[in-house]
Amino acid sequence: MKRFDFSNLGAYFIPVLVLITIIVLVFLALKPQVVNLKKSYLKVQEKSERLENLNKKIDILDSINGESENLKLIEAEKAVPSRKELAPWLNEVNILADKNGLLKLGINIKPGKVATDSAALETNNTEKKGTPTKTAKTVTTKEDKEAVTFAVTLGGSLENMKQFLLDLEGSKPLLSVTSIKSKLQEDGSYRFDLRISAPIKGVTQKGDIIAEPVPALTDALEAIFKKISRMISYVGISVPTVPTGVEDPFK
Amino acid sequence: MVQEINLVPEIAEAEIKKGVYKKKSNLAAVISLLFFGGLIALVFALQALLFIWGEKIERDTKGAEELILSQKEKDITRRALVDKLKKAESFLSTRIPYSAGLGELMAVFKDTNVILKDASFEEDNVVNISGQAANSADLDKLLNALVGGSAANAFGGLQLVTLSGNKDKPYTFTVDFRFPKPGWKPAEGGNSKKP
Repeated sequence: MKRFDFSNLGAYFIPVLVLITIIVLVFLALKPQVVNLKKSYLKVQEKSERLENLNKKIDILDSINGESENLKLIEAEKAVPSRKELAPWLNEVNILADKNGLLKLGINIKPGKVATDSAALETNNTEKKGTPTKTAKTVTTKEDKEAVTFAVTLGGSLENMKQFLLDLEGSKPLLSVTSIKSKLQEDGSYRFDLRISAPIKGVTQKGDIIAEPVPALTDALEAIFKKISRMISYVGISVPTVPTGVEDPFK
Repeated sequence: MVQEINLVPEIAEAEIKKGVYKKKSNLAAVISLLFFGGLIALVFALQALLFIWGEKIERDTKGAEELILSQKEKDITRRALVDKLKKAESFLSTRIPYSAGLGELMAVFKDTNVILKDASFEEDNVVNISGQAANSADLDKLLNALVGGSAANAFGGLQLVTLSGNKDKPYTFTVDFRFPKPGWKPAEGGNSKKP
């Protein structure tokens, strides 16, 4: 039987030791480099994707007709304003009420949740028939910051109210009646308490706005645009000014 | 008889083997050195390539960004337009066509001699009406008109909440129902469409 010669181990020892040392050193030196390499690759890939998006965006922007879109935006602004300006909405309600022979019995202006009672304008407490009184109530709900709700009280017949609602549904700025309460009066007319809501949409910017893709103007949105452009506009009608710093600015 | 004689001395044989092992281990060390050296070189080469690629992307990105910024008006306009149209779309889709609802209700009351005293259309789609009927036949006619005919397409879940009638006095009632009925859509001109 051949015995293993332990004296050969001496010959292996140094080369094996050197080899192990090299492997360990290389591993230690390479590990952070490989990690860095991976990080750099991911970064470059991310940048490459962003560049791809930018190039796509350039193509889309080139295909957009700026002038036509500007005109569309002006039309859309009439339906959905960017700011909470009560005048156009109240003006619209006022004109439509007059048009349909409805008496304006009350409008309360109480903007925001922190509104004080002093913000409520009571111009005529007697609510005489035929004498317009303004008591408008505007409440910005916390849940929907992109809408304003206000209340109006009108008087007239059911037929007048139906026509008023029909006109309201076909006019801009967009308004929506959220609730109606009607009560028959002694003189045979009705008193209507309406809660009306109006949408607002300002420009929102967040994130990487340059690389963010251009939103598509889909067929559904084009159809909405056509619908709102057919509506009768009550924007731009001058609102008569009233004296300020007096007890009753409407007198 | 032939006898085997070992002519190589045992010490010399060990020396030869040692030499062979040394050669082999040296070769292995050289190969491994080359392998790991190559690996390190590869890693650094890849890093250099990535750096060059990254630089090129940076340059192209800057150019693309400048192009986009030169057309930022178009971008902002489109964004604002789409936002507004989406808002209008969601607003109009949730808007209840009260004109059509009131029209249906008026038509029902017109056909009967019942007087509508109070009506409330609430946000939860519940409508509450109360009225006065001269006799039970009129009231019956009203209820039939609400559950049948064209009004039945618009109104659903009808419930007679209260009813009182005394001798020589008109009947007073309260009715609850839901408006609009799921699937109902008002047609142009105020007439309702069947679901």
